[in-house]
Amino acid sequence: MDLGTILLQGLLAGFFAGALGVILTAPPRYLIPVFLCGFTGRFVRDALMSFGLSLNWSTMLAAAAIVLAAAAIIRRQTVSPVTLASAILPLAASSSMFDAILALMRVSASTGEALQSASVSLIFNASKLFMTSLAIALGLAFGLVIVKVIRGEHDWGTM
Amino acid sequence: MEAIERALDIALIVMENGGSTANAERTFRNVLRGYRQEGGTVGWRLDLVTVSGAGDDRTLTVVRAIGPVGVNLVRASAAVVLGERMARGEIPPAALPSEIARVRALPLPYKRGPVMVASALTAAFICRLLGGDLPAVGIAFLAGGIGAFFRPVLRAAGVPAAPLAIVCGLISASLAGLGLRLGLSPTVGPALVASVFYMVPGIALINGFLDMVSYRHLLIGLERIASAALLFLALAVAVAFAYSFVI
Repeated sequence: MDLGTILLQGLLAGFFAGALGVILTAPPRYLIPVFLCGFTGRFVRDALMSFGLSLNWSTMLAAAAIVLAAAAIIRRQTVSPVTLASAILPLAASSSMFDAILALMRVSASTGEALQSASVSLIFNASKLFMTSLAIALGLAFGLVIVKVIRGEHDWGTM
Repeated sequence: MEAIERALDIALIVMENGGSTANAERTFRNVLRGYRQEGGTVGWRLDLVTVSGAGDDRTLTVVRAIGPVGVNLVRASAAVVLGERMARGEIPPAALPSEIARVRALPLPYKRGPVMVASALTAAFICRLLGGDLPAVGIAFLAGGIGAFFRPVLRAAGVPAAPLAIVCGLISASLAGLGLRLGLSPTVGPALVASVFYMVPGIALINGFLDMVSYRHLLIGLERIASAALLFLALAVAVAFAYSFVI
């Protein structure tokens, strides 16, 4: 993937995050941070993948980058959930979930060779969903721990 | 006792408007700090909260129901700020009821028109990100925007979250399916999935992740994620229905 494509995908993710921020009732002053975090997440993920890192590692580091960017831009005590929600969704766990459910429906309605193909698709999509979600959860946790350490906070239960 | 009741009033505003459990608990303790009191043990569920602590000469347990969880982050944010100001002593306890009423009356930050446009744009951008071509982006834009028009109407009529997701999802996915059936675009998957993306329960999902990561709120985190998964399933049923008449 060339730099132009990575930037374009990042911009699309940023605009997507900003629009989603409006739907999720983010206060207007958060819309630019939401755009920047959406851009950062997708840009980091695509850039790391273009350097040869796997999808899961790239997604994990991108999720951590989103938390760090949000903490740097919004200097509040806690990282805003709306910033995370809007910026994390372009990392594609949601589309994997739809793919997995659609594959499950195809399996239940197929026979013969189509069933075999649908089963393989289901296993592929379900494992992709699981690994992408796990990567995002670990990345979020990793990012939040870094933020806590940088801010010198010791209350680990209130991330 | 009054301190706990007022602290719960404000913490429940956070919970019922899309705030995370950690934020709700921090707000609860901040308000108690304003009353010069320490909080007891707090247990959170999606439908109720329990607080146990020492009273004058005995142990008290307060149980409060949590109303339907919606999303108004302006209100949730204002409640968190109110708690912080209480903790700093900027608001006297006597002024708290009027402050709570003010926060409860805060309207949604965006009117229906901008939310419809944002829904349409969300569908268009995610369609492109998922690999849709330009006609598919147009289909997703229109389908998402039209579906978003019906969402507040149904919500005002009191339709619960899961049926609401199915109905709006069916409207949007069917419109997208119609465009695809007319042969406007060959990128079926991105157009169909993107058309319902404005309904994705992002806040529930992220709050669930945050609660689970904190470990202290593991159970409510699981509840939130299960509730988000149910909405995903409702949307997937809508997409599958549209998919069946495109193919």
